[in-house]
Amino acid sequence: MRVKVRALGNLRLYLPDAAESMVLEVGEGTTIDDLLQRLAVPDEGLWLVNVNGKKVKGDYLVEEGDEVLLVAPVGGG
Amino acid sequence: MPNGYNGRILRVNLTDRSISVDKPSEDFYRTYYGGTGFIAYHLLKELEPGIDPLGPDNKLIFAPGVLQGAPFGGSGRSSVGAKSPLTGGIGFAEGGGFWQVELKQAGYDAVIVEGRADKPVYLWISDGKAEIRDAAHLWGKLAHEVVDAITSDHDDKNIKVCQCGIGGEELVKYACVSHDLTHFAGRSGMGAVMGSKKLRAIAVRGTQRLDFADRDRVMETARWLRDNWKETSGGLYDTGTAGGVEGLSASGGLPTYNFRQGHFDGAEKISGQTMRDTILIERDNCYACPIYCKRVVKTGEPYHVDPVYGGPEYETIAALGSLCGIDNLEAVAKANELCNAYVIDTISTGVSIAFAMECFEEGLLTRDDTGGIDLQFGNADAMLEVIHLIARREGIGELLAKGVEEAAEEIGGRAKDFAIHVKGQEVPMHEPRLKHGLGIGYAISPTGADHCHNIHDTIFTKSTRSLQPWGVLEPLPADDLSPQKIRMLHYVTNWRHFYNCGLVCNFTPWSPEQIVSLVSGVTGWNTTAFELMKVGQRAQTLCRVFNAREGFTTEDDYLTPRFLEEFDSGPLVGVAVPADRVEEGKRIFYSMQGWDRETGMPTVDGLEELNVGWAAQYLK
Repeated sequence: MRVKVRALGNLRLYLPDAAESMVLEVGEGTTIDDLLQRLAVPDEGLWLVNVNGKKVKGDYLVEEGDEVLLVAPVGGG
Repeated sequence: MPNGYNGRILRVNLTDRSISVDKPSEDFYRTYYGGTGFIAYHLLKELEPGIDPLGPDNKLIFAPGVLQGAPFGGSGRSSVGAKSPLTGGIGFAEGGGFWQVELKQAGYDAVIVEGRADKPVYLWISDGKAEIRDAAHLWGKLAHEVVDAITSDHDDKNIKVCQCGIGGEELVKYACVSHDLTHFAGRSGMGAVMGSKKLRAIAVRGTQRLDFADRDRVMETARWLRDNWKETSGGLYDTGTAGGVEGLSASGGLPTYNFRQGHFDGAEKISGQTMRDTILIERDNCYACPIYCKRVVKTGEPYHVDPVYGGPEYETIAALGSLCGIDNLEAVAKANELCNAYVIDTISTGVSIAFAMECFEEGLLTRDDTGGIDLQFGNADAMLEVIHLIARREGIGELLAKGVEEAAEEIGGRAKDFAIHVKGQEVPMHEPRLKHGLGIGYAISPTGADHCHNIHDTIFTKSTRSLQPWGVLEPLPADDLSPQKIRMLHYVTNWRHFYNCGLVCNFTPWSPEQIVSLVSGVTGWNTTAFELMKVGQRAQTLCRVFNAREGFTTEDDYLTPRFLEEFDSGPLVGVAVPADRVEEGKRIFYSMQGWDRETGMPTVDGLEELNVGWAAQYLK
């Protein structure tokens, strides 16, 4: 099944060609943790993960068409 | 000739038109540096308590620091300070650009402006000379018109101009100071003080070369940032300071609908990424910085923006975007242009408009009050119209130009619940219910709510890499308010106050070790991070003495009640900053700073430890 992954800020570096979004082909039973491991996103660089606009934990099972948003710790401005 | 600085402070009295030069000792510069330290020293020594901030007895201080003029990224920055018309306490604001470098090269390290001119004037400074000139032709003009007039009058487009705008002329309480048209010393109402003195601008041309103790060392350290900026700060180049908008909204920390919510459905539309992909035409920088975090935008009708005023930063995008329920990026860019042209602080302007929108929604303001404007959340055209009215103090703008605290008092009733400020300064675009330590920082800041000399807890939730040099080794959750979080706040605020003295830009990735290298290279001083941290703590403490003398007590160190209420929806639903933790947190902070735990007053021994025992006479 296919899921869309978007990465904000420095997390782009973990997607091919530092893209801001990509479509990933994943198997049944894939969790968010599995996804992060596959993309080699370090825990230190990650603040939270949203799926379809809602915050999820690492054991969330992704579904066909899910939009996964990776958010880095954001500071000031 | 000293290293890095001139040893000359220009003093201008606009009442009797006298001009003189102070020549402080090297020890003075090593103790106070410039910026906030310099401002606090002079205001404490030279002002009587209780003076009117918009009267002739206030002193307006333009203070770069020892480091300005040294060519490293983050050195293009300086401070403006005075007693604040917003809070009645000490006021200071930092802004970037190039103006401050020109001033150092013209032979002056700072300018102290006293008194009040009887008619509009500007100050013209060039290579060791200063004169007061007539500014009747500049009064009433937009910021770029003033720069055009001055540079053509002197036939030199290399002249750098800092100015208050029409906002300052009109004494809008949160009018600010513009450097080079696109950089702003935004907070504390310093532009109103400038306008109250009828000082419209300070124009500078400086061609003298500054000496450095070890130029090679400065250049070598500076080169590190030139070689590594993409890795350390590439995001700032790419999307500017507004690259975090969507992430903040996803986290529940994007100020929305006057801080009623922390999540905005339109966040993606007003993000730095969207700006980059639509209206961005150029990136810009401050002196010697390779990062280029500044934006330049161009838009068409109906929200046509002149690129000469640059493009919106994060604070502006949130304050005049999500805070007002507006998801139209071009309208926000237009709002930014107007605020920059009138020279009024985008943060306070946005918070004042959002305040009015909530009052309108609740029926506390009606169309009769707004002159027919449908001042609802989400109405971009209404927002833009009100900006004009605020800057010119017309219609509803007359009320809103006073700042939310005073406006709420005038409206009465529940309006004060919608006035989001601390000590009278409008809260910036950082949500304490996401970053709890920042909330304590809002409470104890000497200038009212401020996000720059403050902690951003979210950075330290997974790693404390940038705090490890201070011995902070354990990350903490963003909502932690244990003594260990207060310890972080204690170190971070002192270091940030040093940055406000040096001066150094908060967006550069320098380690304390590199800062020591830069300072030593510029000045030749055998300094350490310890000494520099103490410069910051000294500045923060002197500010506290100033405020105490003006009658501020621990009661004035509070967090706005809205942040003590739970979000009723969004990613942080049910979260509030616990009121009892704020009380305890501020006491722990006082104690760690060397101030009295109960009263928050600096102690005599604490002042001696900071080598400012002279300030003890001002404690009650």
